[in-house]
Amino acid sequence: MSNTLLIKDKQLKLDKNGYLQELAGWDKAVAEALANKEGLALGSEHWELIHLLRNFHQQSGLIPSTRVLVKLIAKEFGEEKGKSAYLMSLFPDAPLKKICKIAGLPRPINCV
Amino acid sequence: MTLHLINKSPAKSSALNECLSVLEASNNSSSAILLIEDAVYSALKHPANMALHEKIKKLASPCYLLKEDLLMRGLHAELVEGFTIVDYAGFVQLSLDFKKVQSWS
Amino acid sequence: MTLKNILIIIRQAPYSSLLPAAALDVLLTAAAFEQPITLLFMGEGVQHLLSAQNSTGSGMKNISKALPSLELYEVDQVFMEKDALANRKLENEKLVLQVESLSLNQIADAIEKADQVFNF
Repeated sequence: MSNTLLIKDKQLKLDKNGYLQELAGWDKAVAEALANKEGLALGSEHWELIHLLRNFHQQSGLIPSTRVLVKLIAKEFGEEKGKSAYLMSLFPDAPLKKICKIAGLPRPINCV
Repeated sequence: MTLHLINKSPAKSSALNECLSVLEASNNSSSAILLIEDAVYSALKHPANMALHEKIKKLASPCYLLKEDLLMRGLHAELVEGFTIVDYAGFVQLSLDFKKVQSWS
Repeated sequence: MTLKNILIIIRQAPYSSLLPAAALDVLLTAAAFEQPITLLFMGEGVQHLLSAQNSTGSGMKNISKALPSLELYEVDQVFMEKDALANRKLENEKLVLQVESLSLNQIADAIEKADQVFNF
């Protein structure tokens, strides 16, 4: 797996798990390229959650657990979306790891 | 029923002072304090320790000193009254006698 | 899983050492295991509640930023020592979170009631 992400004239370093090394280098094009590597095309529902997660991280300094992220989604966008099935449908398999990676955040360490 | 463990010198840490403030305000006297490592300097007859000694004297809970840490530092002559000296075996016994032990960092 | 009432006391001032950040790690870990948690700021520790903190560029973690989000982790029992802010002439400062005050007598009770106390 390549450890750099090339976007037009930008070259971004990735760690061994494919997460951005310099979090400041993130922008929408980077997110799309990272999502592409995961086989995902980002739609408005993905963006809604990505922005929510990035704002939460910026404000709190925390990376939420899946359970906390689902609660955060419920609080922000209502009970209908605040379900792990909804998160799973947008970011399949390992939703928390995937959304953190695409949102340009560090790899979540607690997987509880 | 808590054994309060303190290991810092009173010159460097407010741990003993804060612990005493809480125990003073408490309704029950079933707790105890054990001073180990550098916290044994709290028992020296130093003017800076006078306020602590006043509080300890009035306290219903006992205040213990670990003998090995006193001897190691050569502190056996100049201690104020009001403390009970225990050795390592006594430390173990205290840990068993109390429901829980909490260390004040 | 057995539930334990955990009391976490933070007495060290912000940025004085790594202990306050360690306290937050212990809290988040215990919360992940759904243990009932009480968080208490005592002595110099009350300064973690001041909202004007900014640790950008220091490389140190500003744990106050995490405090308003603790509710999402179901940690809603957050207290501070009564008068600890006033004793420092900080009683009119803006705080990151409104928390109830406990008297020293109530703090003694909280320590007795907890199954496990982590004192930072």
